[in-house]
Order: sequence, then C-alpha cells, then structure tokens
Amino acid sequence: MEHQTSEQTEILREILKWIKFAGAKEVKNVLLATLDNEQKRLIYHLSDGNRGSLEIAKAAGTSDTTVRRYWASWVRQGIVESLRVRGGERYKKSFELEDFGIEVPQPKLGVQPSEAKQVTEARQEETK
Amino acid sequence: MSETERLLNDIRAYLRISAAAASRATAKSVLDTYEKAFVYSKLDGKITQTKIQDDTKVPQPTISIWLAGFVQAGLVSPPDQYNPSHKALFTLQELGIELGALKKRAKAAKPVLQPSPTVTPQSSTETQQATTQKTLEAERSGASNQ
Repeated sequence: MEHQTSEQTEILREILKWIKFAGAKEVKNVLLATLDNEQKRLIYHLSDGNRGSLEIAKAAGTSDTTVRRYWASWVRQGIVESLRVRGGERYKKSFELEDFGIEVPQPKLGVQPSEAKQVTEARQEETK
Repeated sequence: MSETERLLNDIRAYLRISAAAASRATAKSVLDTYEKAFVYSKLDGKITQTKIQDDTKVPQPTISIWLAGFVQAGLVSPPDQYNPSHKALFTLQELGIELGALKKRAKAAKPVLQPSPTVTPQSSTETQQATTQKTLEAERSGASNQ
C-alpha cells in the first residue's frame, strides 16, 4: 500500500514536471501582466498563506485593504489560492516568482520568515 | 497538506492558466456582448436559468441557446453529478475579458405584423409567440455565425 502511494506520488511529480515545462511561458506572461509593479510583486511574494494582510501591508508600505483587494483580483486570475483560517481567509501564491526569473523586491520593513519557511530551513539544517 | 495534495494543486494551477490562455481567442468571439459575458459570470454550477434571467434580464430561452454555445466552445461544463447546473470553467479575468469594456447587444427588432383585411388580428399570446420565435431565430443565426 505504502509502495503504491509512493509510486503514485512519483508519477504525479513526473506529470507536474512536464506540465511546468509546457505551461511555464503562459504562467510567466500572466504573472508579468498582473504583477506590473514592485509593490504587487512584493505582496505576491509574501502571500504564503501564513502571513496576514496586515503584516504584508506593513512590509509593502501600503494598507491591508489594498492587499486584500489584490488577493481578490489574483484569485480570479488563478495565481493565488484561498485558504480558510480562523480569522477569515488568507491567500497563498500558486507560483514562486524566482522560478520564472522574476525579481523579488526587498520589503520596506524587516519581515520575519514565515513558519513554513522556518520549518523548511530547520529541516535543511537537520539534513546537513 | 500532503505531498500528493501539493502536487495536484500545482498541476491544477498550471493547467488552468494554460487552458485559459488557449481559450482566450474563442472566448473573445463567443462572449462578445456585455449580456453574454454577464450571463457567463453567473455560471457557478448551482444557479438556475430562471435566476440568471432575473439577475441579467436576458430571457431564459436566449440563455438556454447561449449556454449550448458556451459548452460547444469549451468555456462551460454542462450539468453533471457534481454540479446541477452549467459551470464556467474560467473567470472572465482569466479569459482577459473586461465586462465594462463590452458593448451591449442590440435588441432584436419587433416583428412588423402586416394588417390584412382577410386575416383576423392575432391574439396577444400569438403575438408573443411570434416575437419569441423571431428572437430565437435571430439568436440561432447569430450563434451559428460565431
């Protein structure tokens, strides 16, 4: 059973690899057209599903209303996915800007790495 | 989130964007009026045609014809075991369609009834049926031209 699951995961990884290869150009076009200034790119980059609109707004030097307005538009565009949290709804980027050679601007204020990032970094440390 | 879920999410995100890009040209020619795009935006898989008629003021027979056209163009999935009504496969934004930029459709001209001394005047029901028939014919010829 476990062997079967890992085989299926492997197949999914393979499918994703080819889909990424086939769709990268279109995704990059959509990202470039939608995230047409530094502030939008930064807000998108910070939208990891863990950070709230207030934290992202502070880092991008804007209001949380603006962040939420962008999220609402981006979910219709298909570049973020919504996640239900206790306080309401948050949004998680569907793509990493770095994967498409899109530069990520520096935050205006220091931003703490998200929990997910901290966990990943801790795991990387462990494997070292 | 399990790895399988993460992989499936990524696959869906890529496929959606690729499919929307491939459908953009078709969408621009099919959703070519404000009313058609407005009706399309209402298709959440649950809404009834009567409710769409109430919301958009487009007659239900016209909506029915449009929906068949949307399905044929690959922009909408027909009702199935998961969705009791038609469901839009994309958002207007994904298709690059701005509702506000579209022109409103021209209303179908009212039929001119030629008065004839030998023909008795049509009842209001008959007149209504004739109008509906003319509208449908106009819509059908419009749909087949697309």
